[in-house]
Amino acid sequence: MLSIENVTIRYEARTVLREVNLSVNAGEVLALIGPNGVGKSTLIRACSGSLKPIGGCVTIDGQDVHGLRVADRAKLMAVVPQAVRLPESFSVFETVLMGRTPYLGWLGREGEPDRSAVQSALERTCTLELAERPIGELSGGEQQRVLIARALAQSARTLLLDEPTAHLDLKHQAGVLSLVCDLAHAEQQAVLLALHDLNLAAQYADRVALLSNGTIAALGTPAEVLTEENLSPAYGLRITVYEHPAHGAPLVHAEN
Amino acid sequence: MRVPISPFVWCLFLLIAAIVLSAAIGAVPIPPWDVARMLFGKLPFMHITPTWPATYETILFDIRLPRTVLILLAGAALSGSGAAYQGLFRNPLADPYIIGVASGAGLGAVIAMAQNWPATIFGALVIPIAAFSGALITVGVVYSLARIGRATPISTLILAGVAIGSFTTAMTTFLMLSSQAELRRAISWMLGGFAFGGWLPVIAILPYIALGLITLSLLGRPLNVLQFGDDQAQQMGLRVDRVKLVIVMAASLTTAAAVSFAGIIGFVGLAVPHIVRLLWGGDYRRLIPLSICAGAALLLLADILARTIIAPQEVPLGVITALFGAPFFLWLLRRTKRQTFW
Repeated sequence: MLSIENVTIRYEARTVLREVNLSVNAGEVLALIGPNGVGKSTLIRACSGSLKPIGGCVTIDGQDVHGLRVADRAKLMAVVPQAVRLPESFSVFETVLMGRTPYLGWLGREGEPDRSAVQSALERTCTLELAERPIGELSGGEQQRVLIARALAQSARTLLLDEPTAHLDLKHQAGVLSLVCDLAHAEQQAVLLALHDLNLAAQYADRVALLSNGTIAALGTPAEVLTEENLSPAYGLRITVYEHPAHGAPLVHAEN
Repeated sequence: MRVPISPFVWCLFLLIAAIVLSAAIGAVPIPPWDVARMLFGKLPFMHITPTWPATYETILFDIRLPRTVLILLAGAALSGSGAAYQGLFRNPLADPYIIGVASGAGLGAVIAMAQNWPATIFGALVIPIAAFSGALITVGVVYSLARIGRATPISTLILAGVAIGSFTTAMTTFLMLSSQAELRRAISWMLGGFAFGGWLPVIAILPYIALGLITLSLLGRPLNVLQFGDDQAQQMGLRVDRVKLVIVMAASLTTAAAVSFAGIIGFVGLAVPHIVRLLWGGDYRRLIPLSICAGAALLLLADILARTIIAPQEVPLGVITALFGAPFFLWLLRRTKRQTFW
């Protein structure tokens, strides 16, 4: 379980996040939403240990993220980065095998347990048939699935994803997010993801946290959070929320 | 992950051929076959009856071989640390001198020459020691300047290296122009001239180069992980700053030891890792040992040219590596059909 307690983050003179409290439980997908620059990625970075808050702390399974050794932290928590340019020299299998780094140290050699962890991660993300391909050749959606596989190979119980669907087309957006949901529900992973697409958040998240003005303006199920009263002031424009005709989830539309 | 054996066999074969050729070619040519037999004869339990003149042995073991081994070590050191720096900086332009080893060594050596320090103190050669110290001090200054808190961002490290490099080069030039000492020696040292003979240089640098290169060869997997960027590497459980520091230390020690006796030989450390990468891919677990081996072989071949091209005069090795290495590298670059190899 990931727990964010009174986290305050300041860049120079600007306070980005002010005493944010949030916890992500095993088996749930929590989506962070909010306008650009509100601090979604910053909060993800604070959780992953890349950024130290000036106040408060982030704990994982009761241990302070910033106090843990790097390798121990990587065993508890894996991060799927935003769409990035990946090095071209490695095959999918080799890339996913690098997820075993926290178990190997600098000089360790990969053994059978590592290979089977990779095999299983590839199977669960449907990337087994890509195993021998160089990652540089894959499409954006395939790369994102491979990065999720690498995170799974870390055998961590908590997954952080920063805009995993940015730059993906509709099909791959759906593919990546339903994969993440399945992992959370079937394997009791705690998943925290930053999303800018509100309708995807409505469709896939169990809970949604709306960040606005450096704090959490609303927290709850998608139906509770994705309302006109919450979203219009946060995004600074008139927003209408409809009900999805098929499954009743909120459907967000920005008015001109 | 299988590591194919063939590239290693290739490089080893090239290296052995280069060693034999380097020992065979010179003012008094020795047949390569005799060189091979004399070398094998030195191995324990090998009894080969000499069929060659006794002077061959003196030439081989006292003159040719020390130089061959020194150049082999320099080639291995420069290529191995070049590969490691290219991996660490994720930059194809990185070479062993990128964070100031060469300019620091140059300054150290020129200070020693300009001040007319004695050639030896307590039996130790002064100029190589001055160069070695200059190199390590410069890298130390660059690394500590680039450090921000506990992190050492790559771009800051490169920029600090370039800035300190320009500064020390300027000081070197100033010292050279303002001193009365003979400049020719300094210039030829800087271009990679071999001013020292005998086994002493080899014995002096072997421990540093061996230690550095073994360390770098073992760090292939962390270097692979680093290719995904500092943030991702850290999130995958790698202590990025520790790895960086160890790589910088190992590569600097290796390069400093090499330049202290062999001078500043350009291009090898830049091009050899790229040649290996073009031929056999960018996996650092393979790239570093292969670069070490290929670098040793190619620098030996360059040295043969340096000694023979306008014999009896010698061309500085750095001139040969760039003169012949650059067209070869460009040919390989053009021949490779892949759009990107980096």
